[in-house]
Amino acid sequence: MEKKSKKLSRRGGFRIGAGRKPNEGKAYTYTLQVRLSDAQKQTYYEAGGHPWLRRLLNQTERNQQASQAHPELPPVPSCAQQIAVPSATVRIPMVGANISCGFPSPASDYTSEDIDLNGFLVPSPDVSYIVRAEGDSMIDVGIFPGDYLVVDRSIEARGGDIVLALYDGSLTVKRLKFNDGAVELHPENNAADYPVQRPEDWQDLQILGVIVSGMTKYR
Amino acid sequence: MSSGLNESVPRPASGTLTVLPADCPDGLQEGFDLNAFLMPVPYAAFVFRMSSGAMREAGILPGDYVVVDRSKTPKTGDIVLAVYQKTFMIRTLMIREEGYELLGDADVPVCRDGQISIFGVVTARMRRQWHWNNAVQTA
Repeated sequence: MEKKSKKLSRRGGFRIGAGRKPNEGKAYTYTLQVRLSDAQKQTYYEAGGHPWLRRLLNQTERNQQASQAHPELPPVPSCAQQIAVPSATVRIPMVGANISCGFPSPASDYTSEDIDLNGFLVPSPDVSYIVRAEGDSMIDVGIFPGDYLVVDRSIEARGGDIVLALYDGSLTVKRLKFNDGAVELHPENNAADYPVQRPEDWQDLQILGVIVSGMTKYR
Repeated sequence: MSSGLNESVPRPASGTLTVLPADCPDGLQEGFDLNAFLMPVPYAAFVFRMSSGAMREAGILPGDYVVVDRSKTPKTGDIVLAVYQKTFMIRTLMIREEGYELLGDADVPVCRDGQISIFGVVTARMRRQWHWNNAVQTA
């Protein structure tokens, strides 16, 4: 008898540290089952599996929150990446010397000031987001395929600004120009000679924000 | 002369510049911190400004800012900040048996010399697209 009760007491009950771990303070209680094709399964795992999916959902959630936080501004597209407010400011030296062939000694121009890249590239982080560019229609102004672009929703676009626009149902980056009151979206690639887009109706076109800066990452 | 970088970048045929999801690198899941994104090693990072058009083909236009990381080992095909004859240069590095070779646009002489020293690897390029001076005035 005594032996049996001892056996029972080892079963079940609360164990410290058992169960699913809480993730970032959120309770993940739903389990999703999705049927995929072989190719989709491959894509899913190559993209990064469930951490990737969770990141995507977090991103969408943050974009919706950002849209709702400033409803008077243009909405945030789903592909946007929100900009974090960093906990610590890093300042790195910016060397004053311009680089060129035929400049004098590098040592003589070695004056440096410190800059913070967040402030340097993003004027208002709470109403800005980052998208990635694809396509070569803006390479003359230094926007290359794969570049990260900082889009500011709060700036009212003027003629001559490079804007992120929703035109004909797709997102595009172009230079905004006004010609006799008519709006035009100009590409910036002389070599390829892409056509200028002329939306006839403002309903076809929505300016989502102004591109304030762009960056390429090489390594 | 092509710098070797252009070939590696796929060029889509269409003229529209579309927008892709900005995939957040690992460790930046709460959003982009541009300092951490562009300079993983802050104490080894320097920012320079490009003044010549020698790397136009490779995508660095005059007036662009570049991040130079001194902690990275330069490899063939990297864009580097080199010191050649007491001058800073941003060029594409080719490591040959006879020494370093710096590739730029055609109007810039190719430097094939043992006297080139590499200051650091150019890890990123930045460009301000918008009229920042106006913003300071109106703000």
